[in-house]
Amino acid sequence: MSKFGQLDPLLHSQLRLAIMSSLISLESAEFVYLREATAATAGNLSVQLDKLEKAGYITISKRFKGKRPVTSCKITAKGIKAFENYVDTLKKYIK
Amino acid sequence: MEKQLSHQQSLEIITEMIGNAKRNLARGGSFYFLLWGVVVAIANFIIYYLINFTSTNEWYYVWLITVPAIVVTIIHSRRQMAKATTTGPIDHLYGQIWIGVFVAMVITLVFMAKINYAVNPIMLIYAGIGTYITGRLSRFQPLVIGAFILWISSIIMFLVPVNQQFMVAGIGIIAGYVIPGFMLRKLEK
Repeated sequence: MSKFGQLDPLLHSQLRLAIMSSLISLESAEFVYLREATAATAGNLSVQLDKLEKAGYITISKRFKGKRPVTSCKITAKGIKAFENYVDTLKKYIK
Repeated sequence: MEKQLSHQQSLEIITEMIGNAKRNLARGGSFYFLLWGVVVAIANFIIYYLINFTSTNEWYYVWLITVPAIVVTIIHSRRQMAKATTTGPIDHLYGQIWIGVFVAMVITLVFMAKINYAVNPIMLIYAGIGTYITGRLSRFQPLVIGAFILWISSIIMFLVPVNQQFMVAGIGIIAGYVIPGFMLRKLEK
């Protein structure tokens, strides 16, 4: 199994993978969008976003839209690379 | 803790989340940057030579080499479209940006007599717009930098005598168009 290399453990998780897959196709996504897209609870989503941010895979910014605070997430170059590597490794396993 | 994902499940998540909005890095786009960059740069260098070192006045015929480039572009883009198994909304946008740029160029060329034939720097401004948007959409930084090189080249061209403009354009296109095109090609492989 390991002859193809390890799948990035940070991405090999249902919710984090879903987050990253969403962000890879978007310029940036708001927390609300991600919560709907992944059908996760707000608490769990926050925890996973935090992990991804700490790894440098995404950036999280908070700003105000009128009076409402908005959290938006963006994938970083490092995150894109990690995601692509993950998919490449996955392809090798599936072949 | 979370349950272990199978490879199949991973794949399903990715496909589902990305859907049709898959961000595509302008795959195959390098072909056009290289084709047009090389053709236009060579044309500029030839014209520079003809204007500065020969007595010919018919140098503008050199631009006819863009005609086969247009034909090649049309054929190549048709083939690419036929080959593509998936296209996202962005894929169409790339083509449309450059059609817009092309239309702007044609209009400018048709009426160049009205603007004192100062078309060269304007062409680079247009090309810069297309390159800039393509670079931003595909998040490919060398193209964004390339766009600024094209714009800076156009500023220089406005400031130098007309007979020097072609050299500036040639160098600007190599730096702002051909080099990012090569980098994109490398990435596509």
